[in-house]
Amino acid sequence: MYKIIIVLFTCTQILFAHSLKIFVSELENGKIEVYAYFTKSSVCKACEVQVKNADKILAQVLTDNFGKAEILLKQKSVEIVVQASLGHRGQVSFTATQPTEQTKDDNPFIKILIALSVIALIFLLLYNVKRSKN
Amino acid sequence: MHISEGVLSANILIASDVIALGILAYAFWRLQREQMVFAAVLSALFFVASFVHIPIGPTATHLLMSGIVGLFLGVGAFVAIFVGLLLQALLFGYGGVSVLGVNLLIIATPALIARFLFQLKLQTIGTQLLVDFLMGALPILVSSLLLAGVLALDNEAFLSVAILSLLTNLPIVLLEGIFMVMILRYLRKVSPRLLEI
Repeated sequence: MYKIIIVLFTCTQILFAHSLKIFVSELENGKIEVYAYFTKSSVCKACEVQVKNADKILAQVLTDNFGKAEILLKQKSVEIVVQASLGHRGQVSFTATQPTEQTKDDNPFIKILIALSVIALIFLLLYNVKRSKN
Repeated sequence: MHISEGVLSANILIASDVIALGILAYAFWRLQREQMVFAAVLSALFFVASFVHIPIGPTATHLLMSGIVGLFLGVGAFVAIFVGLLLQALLFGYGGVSVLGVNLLIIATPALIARFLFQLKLQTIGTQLLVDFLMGALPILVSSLLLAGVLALDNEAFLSVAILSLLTNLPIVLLEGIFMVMILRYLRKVSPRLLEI
């Protein structure tokens, strides 16, 4: 009987050791922090975190050495999928309590135009620096 | 191809930032005033190319065009790529400011291979095609290897990510090689003076 209990206890521990747990907390500025871990002493390092809405991937990052990743949330309700090595996978649903600023970030073309203008300005500045040196 | 913030340890970040800063200063010193307009155009090309995403299986990768930047600017490519990386980090969150040094070294150093291969001045058509292809493909391949190496060096737990990253970048290696062949063929026809480097 004791042997059975010990075997069952060990199996339960192994199962828990390999179950991927995900903890999501809301930060300021529309960001969330995803914390993925197997046990308290074994965090999920360099695990892929995907933020999805339906089947569309909204963001994709890797967790750091502490099993954490910060993501800017662009939609209120999302699915968060964490993929670890050897097929370990976890998924949670998350709904933000704070409003997200999706309308401002949705148009990348304005940002690209700004960036191209900044590139032109930077090199104009560098051109003038070179001219003044010569 | 970008390493994100919070992935690498501080010692790798500081070391790469110091090395990158030194090379960047040298690159700026070497960059001629007459090259500035070209450097701006190539920096913009590098910046925009990163938005051309190519889905590969469950993930996606993007173009770099570092070979063409290295071909035309030589060591000055460090300046053009640095400006592109800085704006990608600040405006779009690609990579990050703290990993600028390591990302610059990973992307800009192999870009110099294109310049080196071009200076071999191979004459026959067959070898020229091959060299043109390699000028586009090799910088990406070496960047992918460096990226995988840095990830694996920093933490053994990143080894699988490093291998995955290397594999997902292989189609881009092929694609950028083909692009380089097309670009150089076009330039040789339309404006061969541009290739008098």
